[in-house]
Amino acid sequence: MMIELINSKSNQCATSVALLFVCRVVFWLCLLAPAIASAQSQPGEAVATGVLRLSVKPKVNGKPKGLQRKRFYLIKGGLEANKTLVDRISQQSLLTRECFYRNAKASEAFINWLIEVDCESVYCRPIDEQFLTGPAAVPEFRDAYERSAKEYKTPQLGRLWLTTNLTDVIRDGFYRQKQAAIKALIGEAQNGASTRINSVMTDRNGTAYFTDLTPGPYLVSNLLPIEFGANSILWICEVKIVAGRNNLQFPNARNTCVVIEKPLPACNANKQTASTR
Amino acid sequence: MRNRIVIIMLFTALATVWCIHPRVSLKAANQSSQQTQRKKQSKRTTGTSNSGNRARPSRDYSQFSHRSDKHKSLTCDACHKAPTYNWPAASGFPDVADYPEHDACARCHRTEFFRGALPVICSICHTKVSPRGKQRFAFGKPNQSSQFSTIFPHDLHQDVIALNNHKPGVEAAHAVRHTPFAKDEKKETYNNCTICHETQSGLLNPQGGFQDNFQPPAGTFKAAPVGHASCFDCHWKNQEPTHQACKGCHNLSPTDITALRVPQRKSLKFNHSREDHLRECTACHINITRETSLVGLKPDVPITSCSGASCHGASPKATKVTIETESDTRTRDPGFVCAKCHTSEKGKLAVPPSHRAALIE
Repeated sequence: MMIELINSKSNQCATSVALLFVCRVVFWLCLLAPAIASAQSQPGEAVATGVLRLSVKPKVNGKPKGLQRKRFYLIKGGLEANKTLVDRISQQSLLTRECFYRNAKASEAFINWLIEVDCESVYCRPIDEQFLTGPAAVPEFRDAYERSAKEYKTPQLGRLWLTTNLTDVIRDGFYRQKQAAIKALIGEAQNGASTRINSVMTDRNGTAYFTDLTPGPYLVSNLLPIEFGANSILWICEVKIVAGRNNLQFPNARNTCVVIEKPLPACNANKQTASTR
Repeated sequence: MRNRIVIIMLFTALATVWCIHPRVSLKAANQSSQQTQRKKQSKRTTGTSNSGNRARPSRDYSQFSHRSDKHKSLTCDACHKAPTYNWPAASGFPDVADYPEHDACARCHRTEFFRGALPVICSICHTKVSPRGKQRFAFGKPNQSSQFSTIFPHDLHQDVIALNNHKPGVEAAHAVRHTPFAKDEKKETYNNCTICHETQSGLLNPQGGFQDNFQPPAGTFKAAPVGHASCFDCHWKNQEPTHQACKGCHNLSPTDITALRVPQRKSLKFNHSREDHLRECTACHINITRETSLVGLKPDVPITSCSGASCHGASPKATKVTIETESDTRTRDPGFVCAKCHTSEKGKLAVPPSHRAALIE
């Protein structure tokens, strides 16, 4: 009798211990479930991104040469999805740096100063002493220097700060005009895709990287034709980004690219203006 | 038995409520502390207003805030002159190099200017508060946090200042602090970033020292521009934002911004000045040409910039320390610390997948 009572008590006790254990497990699971769920759905962790290595090496005298310091844009979606935009980009006419500055009645010396090292504005190289006086002098710089030296009190500061006394057009008119055209195209591209349009500039080897890309089809383009030697080149290439590393080489990827290569337009009428000045 | 279950259930319910709503208790604690502070403040205000004619809220006039409603409503040139009279001596170029003059403050704060023998408002600019104390802090109060963040689009500046067709001896742009090209033409020199980011020639000594007592040699770090030297040579006038458009570059921040005295690096032992590291900046800082803003800007140098076959990837020489040898040793020996590039804080961590992937590529 006594043993039965002990057994029955111990059974009850075991039941209550088991119940308590189950309660505790359920309790902690309830508490931890939201935390586990949120940890599993951390943004960015689940989606693997891709990197696109861009290598731009058009041929010069039959040999590929890295196209340096040129900006390329990345647009979400392929050629077909961006057909209207591709048409718009393809129809962009090129106003060369030379023609722009001839239209602006810039001096021959100034145009040569820009072209010598492929500059698009006066900011891309220093204006040394030799460009202020002597046979290599650039009239626009000489005039601005005279004003700057007076205004800023010292000849050295006058030279270093002379761009502040150049006219808007001479200073960076060509660059700003290109930017306005690019801005319009980007605006159009952004209407099609909800994401921001990224852009990168090639290094001296013609290499650039787009990083943190969601896998999918993209367009890579320079949007406006680039002056390259005696030609202008425009690329619009489709690339399918996968997680990890991706490569796109210009000009070897022609099978997925729209490439428009044309001789640079002449600016004869304006040349007359410059020579008669 | 039933009582025990009831007690457990009750405890569970209470614990759940307490765990799910920790803010309730925190909020209550905050509210009580705020009330105490408000009470203290109101006592102070009452004391001040009793001594003056008008009741004004108590303010700390030893600190100047650009964020007050009144200050925010003013244009910058209501107080700041550009250039200041002292620019030839202070900067060597037209600059905003001094505090606003007394009138800028006194036209609103006359009461504070003449409060007591040593008005606390003077301590904003003056090192010593006294009727004869003319000494002022250096303008910009070095080593103090800033109330402004800087607006600077790297992408636009890369477009215009970066030289397109690099030729030896041709320097890029024209900054006041510009370092001329080295005479040695064999040495490659890239100049588009150094217009603003000079190499730090001195040793950095952060409080408490660097990890593992490692002292980065001079030339390890690049400096961030301070002041207007590398801006005004182009933006003084005509090129927007000019010196009159302060808001084009300076954005009033809701909180103070403390500049990092020592750059934060994953690879503290990387030295920018080492001969083999003198490459075009964008070859390693691959994202910098796309950056439109300084917000969230990081150095962003991927390991692939270091893992080239001729650099630190792998080497046929068994004695050469490379990413491959360090990663292999670290994987075999959990106690090993990768010390070629890292101090122990980073070097004792597990080898990240990016390092392995870089070696495969």
